[in-house]
Amino acid sequence: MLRHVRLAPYGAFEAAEIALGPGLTVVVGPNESGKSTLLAAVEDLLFGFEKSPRYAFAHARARLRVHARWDDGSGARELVRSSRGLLAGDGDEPVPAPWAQDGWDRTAWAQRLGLDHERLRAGGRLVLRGAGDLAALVFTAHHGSGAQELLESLDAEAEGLWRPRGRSVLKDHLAAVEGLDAELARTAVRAGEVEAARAALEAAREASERALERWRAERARHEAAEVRVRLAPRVRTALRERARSAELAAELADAGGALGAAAVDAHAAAVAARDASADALVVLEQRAQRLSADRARCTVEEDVLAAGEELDALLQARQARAQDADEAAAARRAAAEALRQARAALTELGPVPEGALEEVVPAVLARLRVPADRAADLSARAAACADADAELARARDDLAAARTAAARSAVTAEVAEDDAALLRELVGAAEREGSALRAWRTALAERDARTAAARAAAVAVGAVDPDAAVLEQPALDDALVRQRHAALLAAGAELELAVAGRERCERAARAAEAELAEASSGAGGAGEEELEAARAARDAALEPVRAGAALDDAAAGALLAAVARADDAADALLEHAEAAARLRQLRREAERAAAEERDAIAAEQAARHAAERARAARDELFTAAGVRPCAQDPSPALAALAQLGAERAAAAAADGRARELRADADAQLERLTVVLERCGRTGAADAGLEPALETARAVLAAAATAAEERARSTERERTAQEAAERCAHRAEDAERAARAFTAAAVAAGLPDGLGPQGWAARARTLQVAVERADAAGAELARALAREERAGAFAAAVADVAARLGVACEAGRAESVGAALSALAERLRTSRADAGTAAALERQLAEVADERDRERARGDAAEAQLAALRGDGEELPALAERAARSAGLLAARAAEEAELAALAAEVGDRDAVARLLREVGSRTDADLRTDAEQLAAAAEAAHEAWAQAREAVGRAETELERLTSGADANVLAARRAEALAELHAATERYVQVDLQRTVLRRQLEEFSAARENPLLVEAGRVLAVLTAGRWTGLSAVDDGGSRRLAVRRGDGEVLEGVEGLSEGTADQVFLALRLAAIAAEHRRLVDAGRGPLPVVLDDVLMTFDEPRTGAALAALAELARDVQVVLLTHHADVAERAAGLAGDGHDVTVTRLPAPPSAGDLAAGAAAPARAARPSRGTGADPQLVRAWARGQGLPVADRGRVSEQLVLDYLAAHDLS
Amino acid sequence: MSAPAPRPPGAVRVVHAADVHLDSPLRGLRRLGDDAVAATLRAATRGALERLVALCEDSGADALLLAGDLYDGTWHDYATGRFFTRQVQRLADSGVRVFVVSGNHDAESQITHSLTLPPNVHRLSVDAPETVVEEHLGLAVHGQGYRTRAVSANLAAGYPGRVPGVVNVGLLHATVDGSQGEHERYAPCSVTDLTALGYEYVALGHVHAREVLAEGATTVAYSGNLQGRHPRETGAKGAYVVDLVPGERARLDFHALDVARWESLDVDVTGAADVAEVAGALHREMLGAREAAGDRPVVVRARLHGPTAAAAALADTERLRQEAEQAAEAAGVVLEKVESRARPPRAGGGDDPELLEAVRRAAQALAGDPALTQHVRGVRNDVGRLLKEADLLDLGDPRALRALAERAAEDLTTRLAGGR
Repeated sequence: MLRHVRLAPYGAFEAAEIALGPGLTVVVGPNESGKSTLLAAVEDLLFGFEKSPRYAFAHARARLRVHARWDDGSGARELVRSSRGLLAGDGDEPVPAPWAQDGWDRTAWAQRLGLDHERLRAGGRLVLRGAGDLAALVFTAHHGSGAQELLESLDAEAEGLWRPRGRSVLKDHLAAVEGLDAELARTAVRAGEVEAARAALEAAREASERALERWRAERARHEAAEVRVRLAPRVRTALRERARSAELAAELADAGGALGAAAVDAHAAAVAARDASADALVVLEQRAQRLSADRARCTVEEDVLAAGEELDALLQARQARAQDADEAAAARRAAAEALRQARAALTELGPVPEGALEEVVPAVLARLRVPADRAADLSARAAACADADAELARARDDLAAARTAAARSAVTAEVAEDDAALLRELVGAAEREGSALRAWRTALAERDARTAAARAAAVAVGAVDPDAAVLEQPALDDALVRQRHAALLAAGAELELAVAGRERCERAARAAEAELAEASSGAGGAGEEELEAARAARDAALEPVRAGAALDDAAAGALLAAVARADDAADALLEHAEAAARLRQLRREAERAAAEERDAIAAEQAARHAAERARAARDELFTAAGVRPCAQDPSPALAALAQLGAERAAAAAADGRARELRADADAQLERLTVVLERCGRTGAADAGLEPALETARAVLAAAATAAEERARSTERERTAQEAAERCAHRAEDAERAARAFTAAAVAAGLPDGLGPQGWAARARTLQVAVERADAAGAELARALAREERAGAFAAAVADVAARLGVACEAGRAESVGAALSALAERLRTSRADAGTAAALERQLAEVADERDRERARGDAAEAQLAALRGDGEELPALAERAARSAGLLAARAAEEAELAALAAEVGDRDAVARLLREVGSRTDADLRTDAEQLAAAAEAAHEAWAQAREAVGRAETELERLTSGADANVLAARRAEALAELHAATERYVQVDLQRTVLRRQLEEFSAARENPLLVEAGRVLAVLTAGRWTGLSAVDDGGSRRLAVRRGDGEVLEGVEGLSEGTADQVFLALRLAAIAAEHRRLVDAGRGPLPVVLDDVLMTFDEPRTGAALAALAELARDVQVVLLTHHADVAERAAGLAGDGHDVTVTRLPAPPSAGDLAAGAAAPARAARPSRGTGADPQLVRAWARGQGLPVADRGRVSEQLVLDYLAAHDLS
Repeated sequence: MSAPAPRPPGAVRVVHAADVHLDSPLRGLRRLGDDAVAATLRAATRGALERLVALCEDSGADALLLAGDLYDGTWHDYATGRFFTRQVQRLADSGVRVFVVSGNHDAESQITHSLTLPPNVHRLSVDAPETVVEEHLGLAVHGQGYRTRAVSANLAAGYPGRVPGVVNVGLLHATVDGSQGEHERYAPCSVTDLTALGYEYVALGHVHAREVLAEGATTVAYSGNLQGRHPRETGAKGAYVVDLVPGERARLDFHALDVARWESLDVDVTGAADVAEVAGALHREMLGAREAAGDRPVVVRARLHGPTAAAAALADTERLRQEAEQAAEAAGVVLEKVESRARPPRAGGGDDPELLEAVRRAAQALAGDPALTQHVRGVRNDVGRLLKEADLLDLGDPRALRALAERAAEDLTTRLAGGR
């Protein structure tokens, strides 16, 4: 606890003492009395002086002292803050600070405990917007900031991952997967489709078989038609025989000598059989010819079918062998390229004979090979040569460098050693501390500084010509100025009284005039003449009555009216008389007020003249002295005038000292001139001592440089000699190494002139050639292996091709491929035609059998006819007898025979009957037409079969297309990657979404359930400060912005400061700050650390009386726990505070001692006051500017840069701009 | 790939592989570029199959046994089958017989039905156990494939007895009692069922972890899958080279054939002062995985644990992933996922402890919130169907949401307790 502070010296104070109480101390002092200085002093006491203390304008930092008595409860101790640290009051040893230092510094204390009004308000405005030191307590104290920040982070991440509308990470991944799905669908060939294609191929083949069957059926119908056409004559013959039998029956009855039926039948049958056989043979021959033609159209190649399995195996292996061939070709190309590279390498070593590279390259390699031991020896010797050459080159470089260095000889001016010594002595004497020259310079600098200070003081005085004022002190009598200024102030006071009197009289006169005007407006009305006229009218109306005449109604009415008018006129006259009396009274008062006003105006004019005279008299003093009159208190100007005098005197003293020291300096210059002229620097001293000294230093430096250069030149020559010797040795080494290599090269049979570098290049080239040759060998071996497999395959194909009559060159892949394709096609065609051919051949065999049978039947008929012949009877006779005797039998038998023959032809009796009907009912032309139509149908069926075979081909092509498509496995892998991305992002989204949901809910519940204790306390203080008009504070934190809300007594809540009056806002700020101070104090106490004092500078300046009273009560309440110092310039604040002492509060009231005047400062300036730093570029002293600005009521901060506008205003006000 | 050992005299040499899942993409990889590593990862199962064929050729194998799941059931691109055909054609050229049983994935694969394979490939019957005797090799192969995806019968029970005088090998896609991992239980059987067959070797497929279930007169083994395809399939993957002599114990030699490797790293970040130190520890672990995997790409899933002052920053998963990706790039590995289980060394931060406690309780209660499915309804409408069909995340499944909520709660309390 701080019980006593003494500023000695500090700021403008030489020795100021302030006693502080343990509770609330109110320190009263007028403006510019040093309240801010006291606040800064406490700050410096607690945390030490800054490098450039604000309050070191009158005393240097080293002289500043803040003495304090600190009572920590166990006893008081005296402490002193100085530029050397915190010292014990009774000693000079630094001591540790007894108050809290950990976590506290100057800035923290100034923000939280050592506040002026500006800082209080600035901190309050910040916290209302959720910023500043208080915000950390208000918004985070009860749950911390981490959870809120984490929630914001989770929200942002979740929104980026997924949201119902718009783009998001998840939707991008989903689109990627779907895109890959579509690409997969386009690329992947479903194995099921392949299977379906195979099934389609099988179906096409079956359809082809069915078409073949249909063709066969149509062909059979066509053949049947052909049979009808062919058999039509015979059918018609049979029909004719039937008719003829009837005719012959009649003839037989007449002839009667017929042969027996059996014989006739036998004879007829034999004849018929013989004829039928012949006809059938013709038909069968035709049919056989057609079948053979059809069979000939079938391309069944038995040898191809026999080789079918073998061809299937070759087709199966075809793709793999093609790959082998490609690989072999690639390997051969690689081998050829390697051999070409090897040959190219060998060409670098000499001519390479033409020929096959695979033979030439190994031969040349064998010829050029050097045995390994000799090669190693040569390489070692070549390396030795290279090393020796490198050493020699380095030695030559060194030698060249050394010779170049030695060749650089520095030509430097020689300076005698004696002269150099003398010059060193003279220069040293001139530069030594206390020398005449240095003292002279110091005196000149002090003179200039004092002159500048005097000029600044002259400006502060208000001198019209500051430079003239420096040369001659303005004659301004301090006492006379103060006397006339006092007279001016008295005149001013008189004037103010006169003005006030005049204004009062003016107000009274205006009031009287207004009242008079109002009364005048209501005056007037009936006059006496009007009354008389009314009475005359009444009397005239009464005259007949008085005369005793009777009154009619009209006369009576007129009389009554005249009486009433006369009465009204009399009443009005009475009222008018009263008003006229009051009006007269008012007029008199108005005239009196006007007279008083005139007197007051005259008095004011007199006072004004007196004040002007007093001002003129005072200003005359300034004007006479060449100084601008000051507007207000002349004290600052007078203080500055005193300082001007002091500075002028100091400048004059310094100038005198400089003149005295000049003689000694001239003597030194003279001696220096002599020596420099000896050194060839004539005229160097003409410009004065400083240039002469500079020339002397240059001469001395040149002399030293010359000495060093001489030493270095000797060293360079020695170095060059050594380098030359080393170079000679290295040359010998290199020559020896070269000789040794040459000998070894000759021994190894290498070409003449092949040096070590050539050998190395040759060895590298050979190595390359060997490597490429080896690579070529490996590639050739690989090619051979592949070719062998491909060759075996080609040979197998060629073998089959040769057997099947297909041209095939086993050595040509395209020939092999073409042959294999041709064979495959032939195999496919043969397999397809084989079935057809087999069916045709079966039919041909049947026809052949039938022909055999027909021939046999013909032969049998001939034999039967021979058997029927009688003895000696010739066949023609038999025939004649048979023909004649057969008669009816023959004819009938002929018919039957014909029918039987037809039945044999067409199958059975039913077929014959159909045949008889069909042929009998149609003409031959119709039958031919039928045959042609059926031929066309057979042709169409054949065409359908061809189309079915084409469909088989197409199905085979489709199957081939499906089974040779691109691979889709990489696409599937990419899809899996995209799915993994989607999976990971989805899991992440779900987790983040759950996290933010939980966190948001808990934060809301937590905030709703708990109030911030700091805000509770601040609300309580605010209620005290505002007498209950404002009752509480709450924090609004919606995640996006943080604000403070203030609750009014009626329950309404305002967010921010916009709705508050300035005074109420300051009350809010003070309430928050006091609550925070109490909390800080509790924390310090809890931590076992000493409390820090609270100093508040004019923080109640915007408070009216009730607010001030409430604030003092709150401060006194706080001061029960914390030491509070309130600085104020309002005496009534101190009085109110003193009144609180009666309520049980510990209150101390003290006055701030007045700081010394400017004159006092000037007079006491024996100790060198630190010159106040002028504002950059303006020449105006910031302290003076601040003091002037405060006097003008302008806002200005205690520290930091003074605004440029303020400086300009200051300069303008003092005519300094 | 290490060189195969010389074949013992008189032995039949087979290569046993399974679960190729050809062209099934690696799962969980995000943002691969277009460099060589990306190309390798995208065609990983093909690369592994090529290595398998090379192994057969280099080892002079007589036969390759593929114990099911050659393809993925839903994958239908015919080019996949064509690629397989080319590979087995290579084996045909080298005279290697190939025996295949279909697995549950093959049963529904269109590819299985659409291929015409070279004659060296024998696909064993799906209707009944089939035996193929290769007299010239002295080898009898017994097996039965899946006609449908879900085969619940014990197929092994119907396998025939051994063919005398030759090496007998059983080929089966099944879940054997006592095997590792979590797989759907198809064609279940016991080790006893298999050893009772009396074959020299039973080559199993279906379980993706390599495991020898029995050794002796009958050796029973899962070769595991050929290429790890997701973060839980860590370590070397490949095939067995098996040398078999009638009546003798089989000799197995494993060969790693995977072209990319998955590794799971548990990184202790105890005491790390900040994220930079955590990233350093992660980088060191990744370098270790990189060196262990040889020259093949390594895909890493990392989990951080232990008390650290950086726990709150690590709970920001986006930041954590960025840091981890930088470490992965510097170490030359591919990052699949990184997650933090690190916790703050002590409660801290500027927030009110009561608030922190309230948030912690509310966050922990999230997992039990019955309205979770309603909460995610919006995002589920957009992406739910796709993720569910891909079997990655079912936003309508309360269990899946509960797991996410638990993780969210943990991260939230960690971030708050750590000051952010």
